[in-house]
Amino acid sequence: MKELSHIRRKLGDENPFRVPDGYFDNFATQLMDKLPERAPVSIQKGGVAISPIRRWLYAAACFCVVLVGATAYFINHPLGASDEASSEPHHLSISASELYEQEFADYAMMDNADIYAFLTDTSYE
Amino acid sequence: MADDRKIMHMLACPETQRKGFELVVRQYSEQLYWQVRRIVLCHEDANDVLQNTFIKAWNHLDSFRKDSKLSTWLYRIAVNESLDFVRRQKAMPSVSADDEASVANMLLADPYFDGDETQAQLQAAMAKLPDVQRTVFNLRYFEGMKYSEMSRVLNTSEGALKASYHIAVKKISEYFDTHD
Repeated sequence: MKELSHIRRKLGDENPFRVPDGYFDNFATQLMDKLPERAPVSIQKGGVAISPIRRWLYAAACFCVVLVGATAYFINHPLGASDEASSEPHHLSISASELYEQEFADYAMMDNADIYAFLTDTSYE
Repeated sequence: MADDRKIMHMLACPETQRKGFELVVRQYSEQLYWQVRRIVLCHEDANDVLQNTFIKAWNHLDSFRKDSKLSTWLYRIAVNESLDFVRRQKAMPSVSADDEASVANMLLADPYFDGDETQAQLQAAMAKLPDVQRTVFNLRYFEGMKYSEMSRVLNTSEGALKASYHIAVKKISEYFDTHD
């Protein structure tokens, strides 16, 4: 970049800023004197530190949750009852279908004789 | 100079944490100071900002994620502290941090500024750049920082940083053209 070369020629290499003598040598000591005491916290990869005891506690808690959940599931859904359970929705759907046909017939004010007559009517053939 | 891994190990252990942090301060204070100084210009202000940077780093040590570089994290705190300082200064009605002449005069009166009038005016012109542009220019031109690292320090895309640098270079070059 032409402008960059221009700047380098003008700015040169010298740093116009300076510091008091011994500034950097004394800075760390002076700063550490000012640092407050803090509750030491372990720094680990990924952020928050977890002590080994807590890890075991968390694992035990997860195991208990799984155990209780599995127990509750099998109490409500005992093994061997699956055939009846699976047939229930089918039975219900048939009943619903029958109910629908009854309601439709009532709405249309049709009886079985009318329906049969319609179905056997040859005028549309 | 202490190895970063050794420092990280010391910081991770509560018993050696304070000693480890002292090593961090000794290792990075000069590098960070110059970055801060180029933004705030005055030595006393730079000293205050640098101290605040390390105090903040100490107080937030537990938020430092070991999978990023220590220098990147420190630079980010230093840049934010510097820019906050400059913005507070601009908000003060008695201090005109933008006025080129007053900035140049302030620098010439500063016992810790060795430049001549041209240098003072140049620094004043750079102080007029938008804060982020000036920071990008300082990091790239004086520190030689890679755009990839700068992106992590400033939390900005590399493309935006390159554009900022290009614009800053043009403006400074134009300043030289008009003041030659």
